[in-house]
Amino acid sequence: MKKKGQILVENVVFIILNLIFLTILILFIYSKIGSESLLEEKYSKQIALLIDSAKPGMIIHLNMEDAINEAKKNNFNENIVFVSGNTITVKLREKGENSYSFFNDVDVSVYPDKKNEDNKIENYIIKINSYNK
Amino acid sequence: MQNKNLLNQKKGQIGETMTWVVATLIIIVILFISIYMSSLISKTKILDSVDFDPENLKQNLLVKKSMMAFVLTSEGNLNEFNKNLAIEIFEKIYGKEFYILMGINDNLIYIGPNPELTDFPEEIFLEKIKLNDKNELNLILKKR
Amino acid sequence: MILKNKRGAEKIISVYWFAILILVAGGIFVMVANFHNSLYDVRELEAEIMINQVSDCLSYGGKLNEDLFDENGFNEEFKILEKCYLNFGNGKEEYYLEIEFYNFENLEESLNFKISEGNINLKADCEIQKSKEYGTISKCVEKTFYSLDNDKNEFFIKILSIIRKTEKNAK
Repeated sequence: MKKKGQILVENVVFIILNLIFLTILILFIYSKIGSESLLEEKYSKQIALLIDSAKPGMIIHLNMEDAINEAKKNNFNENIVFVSGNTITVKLREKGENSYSFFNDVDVSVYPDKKNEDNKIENYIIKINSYNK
Repeated sequence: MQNKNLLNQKKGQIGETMTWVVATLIIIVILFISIYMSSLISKTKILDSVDFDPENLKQNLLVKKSMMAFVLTSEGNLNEFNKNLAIEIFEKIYGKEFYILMGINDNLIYIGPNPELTDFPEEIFLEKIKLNDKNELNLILKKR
Repeated sequence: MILKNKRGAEKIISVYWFAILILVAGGIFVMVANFHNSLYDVRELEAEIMINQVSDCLSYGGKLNEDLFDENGFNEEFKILEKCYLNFGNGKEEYYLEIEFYNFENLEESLNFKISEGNINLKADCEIQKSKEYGTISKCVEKTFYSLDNDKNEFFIKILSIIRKTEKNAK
């Protein structure tokens, strides 16, 4: 009878340890899928290529809802996109950012669009002002 | 009798271990295949313009520029298609990589070699230039 | 005796089971890290965009830009970066742009006029890429189009665009 009890406890402990292990694994995978660094890379390159393809006078509205939500989760309330010279930087967290340069010699302004009906910012506006010089 | 029992017990233990050895080998092989697959999938992160084409037909700015120059060279004869000039121009530029279909409105002909009867190339580029109210110059490039 | 043997075998299997779990977990970790650590490589797209912008600058409505020519023929002073509003950055090491003009009769015969800007050393990477694609060297894209000058002389124009930027596109 004692032996039967031992086998049951052993099996239960075994199963619980397995479940803990699996939970840790799933949490790790889940955290990697929604990673900010992936979004920062995606948007910095996308905006740089948009600017490269554009001409002065163009105004581009880019939906960045997922990036804006990610920044909010990280309590990052500043502007997530900014231009410096011919480099676009996307920053969704305090420590970390992704930059990509563009070859089109234009003056660019990037700023958030006005809020929608739910009082949320969804889009960023990329305005190609003029050629430099 | 006791010796026979012992022998039987040993066989049982070896049998169980062999099962685990085989299972481990299978798990390792599957893991290696999965890791290789993940590295292949990461190669889909290398992007070119074909990846952003929802309808399998896309515009090509340089083809359009060449067509504009072709129209200018045709010297205002916008009702007839100058096949010889088209061969001179488009076969030289695109002939190695594509089959070229060109013509006015629906009267399209192959510039250069035709595809084999068993070959069904997918259309890659489609460009149009409106010549006048009635006529439109069309060019389709099909990948060889 | 038989019962003792069973418990011993089960304990060995439990340790072994965790070893397998760790192996599988390690494999999943490697797979996820492999995929997420690799970068998006947009250089081919970027090179195609550059070629489109340059062709737009060189030719409009089927005719070549007048600034490409002077009284003596081709204008050797034509500054492609200024005229086409391109900024290769301070170092100019990440880009190479080359434009060649060809005889209409023969696409293999280049006329004696070539415009180039950027890091010419990147051209060597194109030869390597022809035999096998490597992510860690530059990406090259070459396109050709047909155009006329004001006197209706016919030209083929080949544009070669090379982009290095390996730190941002390949690991």
